[in-house]
Amino acid sequence: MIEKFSKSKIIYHYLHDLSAIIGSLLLVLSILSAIFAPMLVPQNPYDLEKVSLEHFLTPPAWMEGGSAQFPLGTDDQGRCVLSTIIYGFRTSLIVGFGVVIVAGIFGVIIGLFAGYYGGILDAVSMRLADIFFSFSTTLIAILMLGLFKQRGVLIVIVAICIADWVKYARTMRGSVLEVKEEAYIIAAKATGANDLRILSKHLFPNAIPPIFVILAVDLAVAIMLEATLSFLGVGVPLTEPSLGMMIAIGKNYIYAGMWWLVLFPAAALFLLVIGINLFADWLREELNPRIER
Amino acid sequence: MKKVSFIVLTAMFLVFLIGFTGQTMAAESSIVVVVDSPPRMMNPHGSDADSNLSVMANFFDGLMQRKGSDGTLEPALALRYEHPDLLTWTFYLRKGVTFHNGNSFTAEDVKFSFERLSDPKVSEFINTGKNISSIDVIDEYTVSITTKDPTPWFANNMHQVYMMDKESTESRTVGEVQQVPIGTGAYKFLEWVKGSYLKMVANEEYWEGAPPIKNVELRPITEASTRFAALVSGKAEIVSGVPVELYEKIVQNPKLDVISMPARRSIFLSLGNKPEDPWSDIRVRKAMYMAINEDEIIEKVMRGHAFPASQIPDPPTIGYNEGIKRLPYDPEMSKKLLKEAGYENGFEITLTGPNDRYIQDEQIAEAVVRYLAKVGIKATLDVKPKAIFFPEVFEGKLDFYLIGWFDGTFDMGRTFFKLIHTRDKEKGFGSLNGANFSNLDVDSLLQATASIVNQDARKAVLQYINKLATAENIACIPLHYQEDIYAIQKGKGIKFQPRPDRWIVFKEISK
Repeated sequence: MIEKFSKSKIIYHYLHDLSAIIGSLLLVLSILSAIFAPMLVPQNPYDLEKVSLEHFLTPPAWMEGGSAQFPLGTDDQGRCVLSTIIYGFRTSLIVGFGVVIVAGIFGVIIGLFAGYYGGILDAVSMRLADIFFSFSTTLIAILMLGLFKQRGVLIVIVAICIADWVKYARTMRGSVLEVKEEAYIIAAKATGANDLRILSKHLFPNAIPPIFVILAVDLAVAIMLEATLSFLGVGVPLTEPSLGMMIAIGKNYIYAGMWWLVLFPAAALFLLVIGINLFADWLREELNPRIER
Repeated sequence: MKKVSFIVLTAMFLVFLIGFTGQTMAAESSIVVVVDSPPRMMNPHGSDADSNLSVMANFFDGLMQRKGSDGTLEPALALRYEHPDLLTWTFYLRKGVTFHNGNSFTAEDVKFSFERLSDPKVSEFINTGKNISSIDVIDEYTVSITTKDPTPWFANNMHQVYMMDKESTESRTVGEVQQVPIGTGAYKFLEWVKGSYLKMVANEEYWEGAPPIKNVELRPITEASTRFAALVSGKAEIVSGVPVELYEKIVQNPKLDVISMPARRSIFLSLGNKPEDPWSDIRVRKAMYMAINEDEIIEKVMRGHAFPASQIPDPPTIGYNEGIKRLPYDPEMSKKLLKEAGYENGFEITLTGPNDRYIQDEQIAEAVVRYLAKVGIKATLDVKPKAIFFPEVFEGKLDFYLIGWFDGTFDMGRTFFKLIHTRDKEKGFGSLNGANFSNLDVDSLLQATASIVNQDARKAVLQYINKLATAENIACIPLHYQEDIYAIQKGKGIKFQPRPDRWIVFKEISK
């Protein structure tokens, strides 16, 4: 009964929140296009045998010299811009979700133990977190990428995670410290329940909600960070699609009047990130019990 | 009263105006030049990169100099030289030359400068320095240099070995010498803000006569689009390294003139030949060569600003062989050759290259990877900044890479020792043979050339070596010669003639 009620309340709120609808639509659309990319795109831009210099720097279809084959034009290697954007979504979302999942799990576990046990474990992990917090995330990620000899999506995920777990650990610890003092935890302890049971059955489920809010916001942050790193030339290799890389390639052509190389990928990145943020905003309000609607 | 104040104001305005015109007239013989690569230091021996040597040519002189659009070797601080036997070089120095600090230039300075070359702390001309066995000061204006090995191109290199003042170089710290240059050159150092600008003034006592332009400001701007903006906004009067993608825009601009000149530098793909690798098979090497559509690279990637190359040296270099022709672009033939060699399903190879060194380097490498994919070769692209790439070449860790080269001495003997001789760390051979190409016939012939001084005989042997290495063994896949593109402000009367070595020597510019 209660479950059914809250569910309908969420749906009710959702349907009455325009920004939530727009945000989730953008997000779902980009996820779907990323999943079904090979079926959707006019040309696989990273199939080396398909791309040809023959069609390089074609303007968008509606302009003079444009071709219906490449709706948004091509770049300096003859890659279809639209196709590259859709494949770029793939990289963006893989990195985004990858970071959120890996950094999330890692950070939550550290925060959980640090908060519950306290003492030396807490002191060491939180001072480490302080150190990571005092550097900009971009800088840490660049340093990490400097250490790895290889380039690739996986490496980018790892580098961003190393910079990003701190947020989760901090939030989780704070939440655990609060929940730890609740009567039911003390009661559980009094009944002689072991630590594992208390952590998994009582502490974790009650301390986790704030993490979901960070998750949604962090997805957008990770996507932006990947784009930034690739723009700077330290992210994914040249042979992998990335919105940041497209913008980097395109910036050399702005003065030459070939605006489509920059504008379309930048707009795509903007829509993806704003979609996630709108959705995250709604989610935060919905999950925060202190905000009464 | 009102009238009076009006007159006073007008008078003040006029004075102001005259003051300003006076200033512009004084500034007329000044020039702002933008280059694409900053000088690293003001120590003339500290870097053998062209970006540094080019700047140093203004503060310092060598015993010889290269002039004009064909780069002929002419006397500078030495009036003439003699080469009495295989190892000896005697230079007769110009009299009455002074350094910027007033010290006169003598044979002791020459001895000091050459000795300095072999000190790795201050010099990147180690090979030249280590090859010298003795330097004898015969009198105040005569120096005799003896080399360890016969070095037929010794004098050809003298335009980039700069002469330093013994007294002021010894009395200052290494750090000071790296910051403030004291030479005999046409310009005196004024101010340097690293990475931002370098200012210099004319040396009125220059031995060749004072240069026409009195004040020079050199601004390095590495970002192509920022360089373009400086040009269009009129902040720069000469810009070198005009990006090919902006060429059309600059030609259309009525305020700008574009000067382009075929560059000496060739771009090629070095390919190793370790026996265990598929590409040690000559059929595979030919297949890789024939898979690449160089004409399309020139037309599309280089926007027509390059010339196809069939070998590493350019025509004026000793060792250039007219008889070497490019293999045609023929993907069908390429597939057939791969099949014959037993690699019908291709193989994997990594193409390495810099992404901030040559014109469109990254884009060329990307195109090459695609051409190879079309004949079934799975090439992985690995482009990186030159600061990471070049050490890998020196360490010999690569299989296949994109690189560019031109020989400052106009003699392929020196270049081939570096690029295609089997790597031999002790003797310093093959230091830039990063893919470990090795051919014993090439090695032994090359070693024989060291003692051939007769120019015709040298030419014949080097041409033969070139053919053996490039045409018969495909030591590398040549791509193209670059084109250097400069833009200058129109209507300011700037006279500027590009040099084949891409240096900008300010004494050659007038306005």
